[in-house]
Amino acid sequence: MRGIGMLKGMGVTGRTMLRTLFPDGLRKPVPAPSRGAHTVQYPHVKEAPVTRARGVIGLHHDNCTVCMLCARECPDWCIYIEGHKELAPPRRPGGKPRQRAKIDRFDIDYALCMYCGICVEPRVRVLRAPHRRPAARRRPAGRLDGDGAALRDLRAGRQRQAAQASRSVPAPSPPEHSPVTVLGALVAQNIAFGVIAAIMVFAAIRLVTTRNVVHAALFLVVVLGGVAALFLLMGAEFVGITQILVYIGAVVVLFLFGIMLTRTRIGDEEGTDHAKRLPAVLAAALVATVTIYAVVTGFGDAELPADTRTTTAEVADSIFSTYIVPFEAVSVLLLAALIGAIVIARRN
Amino acid sequence: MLLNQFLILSAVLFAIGVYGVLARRNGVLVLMSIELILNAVNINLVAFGSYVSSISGEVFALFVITVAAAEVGVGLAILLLLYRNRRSVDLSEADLMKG
Repeated sequence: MRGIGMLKGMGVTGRTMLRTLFPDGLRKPVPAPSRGAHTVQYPHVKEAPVTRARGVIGLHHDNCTVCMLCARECPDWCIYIEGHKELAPPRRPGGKPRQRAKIDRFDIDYALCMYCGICVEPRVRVLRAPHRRPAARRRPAGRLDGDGAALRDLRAGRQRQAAQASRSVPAPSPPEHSPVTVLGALVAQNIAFGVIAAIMVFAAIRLVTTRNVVHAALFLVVVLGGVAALFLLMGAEFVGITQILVYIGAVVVLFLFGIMLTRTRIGDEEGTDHAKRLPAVLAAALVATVTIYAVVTGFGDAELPADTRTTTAEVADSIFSTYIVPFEAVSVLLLAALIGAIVIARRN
Repeated sequence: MLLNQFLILSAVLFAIGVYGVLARRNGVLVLMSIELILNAVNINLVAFGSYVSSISGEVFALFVITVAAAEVGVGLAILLLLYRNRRSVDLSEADLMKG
């Protein structure tokens, strides 16, 4: 039995050898080993890299300034850099010696590296060389498996790096929500929204129906506070705080001053409303119907993203870059309005 | 949270504000109703901003807040002048330019 199997194997080998040596068949027995072979004659011939070959990641050691940007950007944190400062000779004779960062260690843990190239993209220090290829086609996976010392070394390096990163720029850590707390947060958000909305609608209706002017101003405070709470609920922290500062802090006080200065009688009084209110009710109902219809048909059950929090820094970035011209225009408008208000209200 | 719940609340507030502008005779109360309308717009801006994950909604809401503050300042100054001249902030009496 064993002999038959061996003969079969020899047959396969022989057939393949013949096919390799004479790719045109035995009728034209011209040896052409380079055409039929799947291997290349390495030192003389080099395999062309496939079109999507991504090469290896390496370092231009001379260009490296030990800025750690590549290590910090790496999604896997698989780049290990150590360096030290040293003094270099001054540029001009008689100048002060320059300080220069010198790299001691640059290691990429290729067991973790996924060749994303993020470390390469923004800067030129780390290079991706398509012509340089790893000797093995597979990633070397042994570093994390076999050698215990290497593993310890890697872990220590990663901890050091984490500490360094958290000192300089806090790395974004993935939010650790369990599904239950996310659901709970959603329910809590919806309950909060319901309560705020009910209070706001009640206060708004009282605002436009009460006959006491000061009460109207206080209901306005409630509505404005509700709007601020909604802003916070939507993650717009800066706008929420501004709402409280500007509206409740300044505008309402302005209204109260207006009420007092115009000496409107405070308390139940006639003459706050028109006698015929039905047209106003109809107009408001029409507005509400049309708007709500449009909104419901337009945005059926579109969900807000779960975490929509925005930071003040983002708002500032946007205002002072994209919207700098409108911002300046609004500033001038505010100044003009305040001067205008003073001019209008000034006694001669 | 649904986008719609914010939009509908904003629409309701807007309509209430419209009612207030139309039904009130006291100038200060009309200005308050206008604030209500502007706030409804702001809710919309921020809601759409977070819906499309853009910061622009918030920036525009800030602009609206600024303009609203300017509007209140000028509006109240005008009301003050009106009161000084006519001893009343009743808007139905401010019909000097009526033909």
